[in-house]
Amino acid sequence: MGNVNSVLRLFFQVPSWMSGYVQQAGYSYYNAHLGIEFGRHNITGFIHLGGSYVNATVRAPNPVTVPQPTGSTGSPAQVLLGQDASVRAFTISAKLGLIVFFGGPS
Amino acid sequence: MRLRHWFSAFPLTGALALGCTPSIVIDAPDIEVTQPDLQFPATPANVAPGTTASAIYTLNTSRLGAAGSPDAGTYKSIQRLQVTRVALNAKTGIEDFSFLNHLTVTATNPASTYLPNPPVVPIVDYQASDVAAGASLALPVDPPVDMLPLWASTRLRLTITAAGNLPTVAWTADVVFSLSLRMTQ
Repeated sequence: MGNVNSVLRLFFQVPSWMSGYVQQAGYSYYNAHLGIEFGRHNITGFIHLGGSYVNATVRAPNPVTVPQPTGSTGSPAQVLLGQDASVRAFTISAKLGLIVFFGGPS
Repeated sequence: MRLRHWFSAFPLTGALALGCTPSIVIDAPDIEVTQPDLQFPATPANVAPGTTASAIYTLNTSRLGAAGSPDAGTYKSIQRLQVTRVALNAKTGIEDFSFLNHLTVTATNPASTYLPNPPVVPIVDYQASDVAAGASLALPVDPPVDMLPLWASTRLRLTITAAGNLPTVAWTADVVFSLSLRMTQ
């Protein structure tokens, strides 16, 4: 758990109105990939393609103040999540990489 | 920990780099919108039976996914937006809600009030015999009331009307709306 807005924004188009409610989050993810690996000596490159499923829980323990509409009087409204919100995402994913083996026969 | 986040998110980075749009479902079963210190006027003594006291306030819904907010298209992605519960908490001028015989809560789009018959969504129609009243009054909305027809605007006008043995002094209450939201992207 922690403030994860920057992480979520990095990967998803989190609407700006929603970002105030993403105060804490935890997630688990699953990848299913098929690909090829190729290499020579102690270096291996790989390309994997497949899908990723992310299951996240979002908490907003601190109320978010909603500004009053122009011309309105009175105290501004406060919004919080009474229960954790869930976020499920599925996306096509790819993984490119390079593995370097140290030691052993070259 | 930061390093772990970076590596675990690597496949998603790759997908976005390839121009793939993730399929996302967001489910928030209980969003509590609290309007604090809502003011109801004093009622003169010896008024005719059936006299009511109303409080009207306007909620800014642009921070709740309404259309017209900077995130264009958000409204269209909301599949469920329902009021599931309304609660009142006594603040000043009253100690409890035992004076209430009848309470209604309705919502409308302020921009439509110029129409001859603006659409009004009834949310709560509470009778004193429905729920025991204390300093807090929790009113489940069953079945939940769909608010999506009003979410095209960035403003929502809520009217709370109380009837009964109304206080002769002005009184205030916190009003809490519980919303259930499901949206996809």
